[in-house]
Amino acid sequence: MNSPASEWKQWLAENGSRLLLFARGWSKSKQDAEDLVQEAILRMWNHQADKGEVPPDLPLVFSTIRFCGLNHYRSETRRRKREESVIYLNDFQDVWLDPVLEEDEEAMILRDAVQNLSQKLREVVVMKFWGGLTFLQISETLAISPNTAASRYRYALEQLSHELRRIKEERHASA
Amino acid sequence: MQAPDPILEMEAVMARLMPPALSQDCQYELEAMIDDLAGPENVARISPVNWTVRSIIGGGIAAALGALCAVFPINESVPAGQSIASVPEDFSSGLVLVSESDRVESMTDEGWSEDLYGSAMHAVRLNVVEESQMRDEESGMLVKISQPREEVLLMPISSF
Repeated sequence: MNSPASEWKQWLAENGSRLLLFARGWSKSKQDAEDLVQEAILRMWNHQADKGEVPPDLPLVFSTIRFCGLNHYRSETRRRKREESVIYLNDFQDVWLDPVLEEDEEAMILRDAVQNLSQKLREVVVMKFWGGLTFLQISETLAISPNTAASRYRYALEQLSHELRRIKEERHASA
Repeated sequence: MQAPDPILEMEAVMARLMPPALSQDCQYELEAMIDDLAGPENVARISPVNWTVRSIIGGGIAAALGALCAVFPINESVPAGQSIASVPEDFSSGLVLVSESDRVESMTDEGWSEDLYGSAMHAVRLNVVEESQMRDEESGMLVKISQPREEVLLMPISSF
C-alpha cells in the first residue's frame, strides 16, 4: 500500500493543472493561483486527516479553492480601498490556457474569449470541460441546481461560439 | 443533412486548449509541503482505528513478559560465597560478587518501528535496574550497587 504522501503526490500530478486553471479565475496572476492551490491543498490535508488521509474528491477541492479565492478577493478589496494611490497592473502575458498545438490561432482567440467570460459562466466551463466534473458535482460545488449548471454551460459555449465567429469575420473582412 | 451541434463544435475547439501545468517551483513546494505534513517516512504510521488492535498487542506483550518473569525470574542469585568465574579477577581488592539481578521497573509501549533493515517491529521501552551485591572478604560488609538503564526491545511483527 502506498504511503499517504505518495498517494497525494500522484493525485497532485493528475489534477494539479485542473486546479490551477480553476484557481486562475480567482487570482490576478499564475503565481497567485498557485498560492491558492497550495492553500487549498493544505486545508484539504487537514480535512482528510481523520478520513484515512486519502486524497480528497475533486469537487470538494474546487469548492475549497473557491472559498479561499473569495477570502483573498475580499481582503484584496479591503487592501485596495486602503491604498487607493497604488496602481495595480495585470500581467497580460500570463495566460490561463495553452494551445495544444503552437500557432493555433483559433485556439488562442478562444482562450481570450474564455478569459473574458463572466465569472459565473467561466467557473462552470472550467469545472465541466477542463475539470471533468459532472453537472451534479458542479451544482454541489457552486450551490446551484444541476439544471442551472447545465444552462450556464450551454449559454457560455454559445457566447464563445458567437465571439469566435465575430472575431474571425472581422479578421476576414480586414484581410 | 442534420446541422452540427454548436455545443459539440465548440467543445472540439476547446479541446485544442489545455490547462497549463503547475510551475516547477510550485510543484516542488507542494511536494515538500506534503512531505512535511506526512512526517518522516521511516516511522510506521498507525491510523486511529488501529488503536484497539495496538492496545491488545501491547497488553499481550506486557502479559507475556510478566508471565516470563514469573516462570523464569530474571533475578539470578548466586549462593553466598560462590562467585562468578570471571569476577574475582576484576575484584582483586577482596570484593566478591554475591548476587546480580536485572529488574524491570516500568514498560512503555512505543508502537511500531523499523529495525536497521527496514522490517516492521513492535517497540517496547523498558526501564531496567541492574543490581549487584558485593561482599568485602576482609570486613564481611555487603555493598549493593544499583544501575538504572533504559532499553528499547524490538520484537518482529509476524502477523497483523
